[in-house]
Amino acid sequence: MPKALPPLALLLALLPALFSLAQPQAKYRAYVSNEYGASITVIDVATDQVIGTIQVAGRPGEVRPRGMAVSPDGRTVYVALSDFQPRLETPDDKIVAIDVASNKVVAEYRIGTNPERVAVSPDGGQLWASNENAAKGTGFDLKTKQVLGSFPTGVEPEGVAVSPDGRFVYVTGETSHTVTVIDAKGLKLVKHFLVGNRPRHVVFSPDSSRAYVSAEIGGTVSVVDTKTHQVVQTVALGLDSRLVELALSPDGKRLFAAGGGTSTIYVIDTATNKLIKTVKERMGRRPWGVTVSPDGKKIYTADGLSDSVTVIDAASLSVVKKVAAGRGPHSVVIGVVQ
Amino acid sequence: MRPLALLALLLAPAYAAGPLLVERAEPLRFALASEQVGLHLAALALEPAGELAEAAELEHWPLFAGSLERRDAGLYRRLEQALRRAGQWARQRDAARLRASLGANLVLLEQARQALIPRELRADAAFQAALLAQLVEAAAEGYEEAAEGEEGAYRLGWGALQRARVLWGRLEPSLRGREATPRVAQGLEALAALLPSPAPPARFRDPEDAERASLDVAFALEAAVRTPLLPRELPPLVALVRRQTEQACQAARSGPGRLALEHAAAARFYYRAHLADPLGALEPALGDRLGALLQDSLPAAIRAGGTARVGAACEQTLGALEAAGGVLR
Repeated sequence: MPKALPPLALLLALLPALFSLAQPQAKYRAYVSNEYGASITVIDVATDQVIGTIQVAGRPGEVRPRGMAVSPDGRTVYVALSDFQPRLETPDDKIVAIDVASNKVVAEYRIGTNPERVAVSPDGGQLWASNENAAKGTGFDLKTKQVLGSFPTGVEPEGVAVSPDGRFVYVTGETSHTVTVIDAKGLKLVKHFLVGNRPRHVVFSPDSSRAYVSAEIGGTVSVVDTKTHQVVQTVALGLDSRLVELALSPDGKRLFAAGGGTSTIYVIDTATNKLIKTVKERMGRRPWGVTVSPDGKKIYTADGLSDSVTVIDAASLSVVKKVAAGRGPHSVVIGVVQ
Repeated sequence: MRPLALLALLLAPAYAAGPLLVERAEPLRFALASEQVGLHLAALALEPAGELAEAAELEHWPLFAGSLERRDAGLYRRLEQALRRAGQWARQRDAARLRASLGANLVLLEQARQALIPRELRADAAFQAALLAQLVEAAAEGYEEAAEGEEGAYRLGWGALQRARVLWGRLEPSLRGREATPRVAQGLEALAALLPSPAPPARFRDPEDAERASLDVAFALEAAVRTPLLPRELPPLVALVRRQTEQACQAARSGPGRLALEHAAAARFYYRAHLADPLGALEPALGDRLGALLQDSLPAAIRAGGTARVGAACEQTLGALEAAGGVLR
């Protein structure tokens, strides 16, 4: 007969289970920016049901929410808003902060004219915006609420990302085919370098050693060594692949590239930098945005032409659901309710 | 299909050739520039504006005038006179005369295309697709510039779209059944929704919608004709600008002439379209210098004539281009 556990050992054995009962489970929510609806659709990631819509501007079609970013703790979603008066800085050019717990806009920050996309530093203290028509990348200190600096980029900057080690900001330049490197700590311009034709988006690997840059006309993903800021490999996905946003799995092993014009998600193995799968069947139309849930189990795409979000199972790499969103989904990110 | 031909087709990788905008740069330039002159004349007939006439005369006409003078001097003279008269009427805001002359001028432009571009190339689906892609880009640019407040830009954009639709009507039957063909029509429809009539809308929509639609059309055309149309690499474009500069210099050695100016204008046109942005970002001082050499120094030297001045301008421009080639690798 097995010996009974002493009371203390039993308590220790049960502690993890008791702890998980005591701690509320984190809930994930997907936030989808609807470019033409001036709204954000909120989706419960557990059920993939829409649980709310947040109107972020009063003039749909004129004021556009586009790029988004999430604070490191997942509790705040930042949305880049702009009108299409590119040569003027108007009150509609701003970054709004949405509190994930309440789904309310809780703050607004002015970070230069025409911000198209936004990124957050890993400590959550800085925001970086790509100012499309000003050809600038602008940093903003969330504590002091002051602009840290505005740096010249390539022409029509769009993609912006901060490396997970917090050292560098990369900004893509659409018509100059460049990436601009900004020293996020020293607040100075480091260099510009060439990537594929019409770069749209950039992401860093979790260890900050690599960056991946999509090129819409080039049909490529440039793999960049972040020590030298040089392209070390180019992954060609076809001239008609129309790449826009990129997303990495949490472990950094898979890169998902949204093929906007071809309604396809390209899946790349980052160990070999080879295409391992294209997800096309049952995809929504024109997936511009793509993100991966923090547990790595699901991929979400923002489908601009079908006003939907496509949910892809990360294990089988097949579409499992489509969720109706607002008008013109542009980007999708995932926030956390603790 | 014969077995060998079938085998060759199977073995040929998709989009095997280089981009048509580089490989057929000269005839495409003739086609696009002559279309642009026609679009400006049509826009003038709708509403006379001196700056539109100037753009036609100074920006687009020089891109094919020298070659036309060589191939058909009589047609060249008729077209030059027609443009000069249109310019005068535009400055006098004489819409009636501009409208009355439009049909005849468009015929002259069509004759110019026939003189400049070989018949088989004009009939080639990929060539037509490349021209169509450029017209659609011009339509999107017209919309974007109009949304930013530039007068006359909307009418040019609208006109470019109408021409693109006419060309698509001719090209589409030969591409029926190909997967990408409906995407061309969808992109044109999206542009037509933005540019529905010759009169500008009361409120513009996001100009990026026009840019997206024009790119949709270009990508779909590439897939439909199975030929790369858009340039994706910078070195061939540097080589193209260099070639045009060398031809300008070579032509200028035999004295000031329209052909030398045409090649100089072509070098400037390709530089602005493809290289100015990346070079400006990577090496701003070199970009400014090369831009000024192509815009001012080289054409001024060609106009002034004189071996020494032309030689110096050529040497500086080609030197700057070599440096640019080193940056844009």
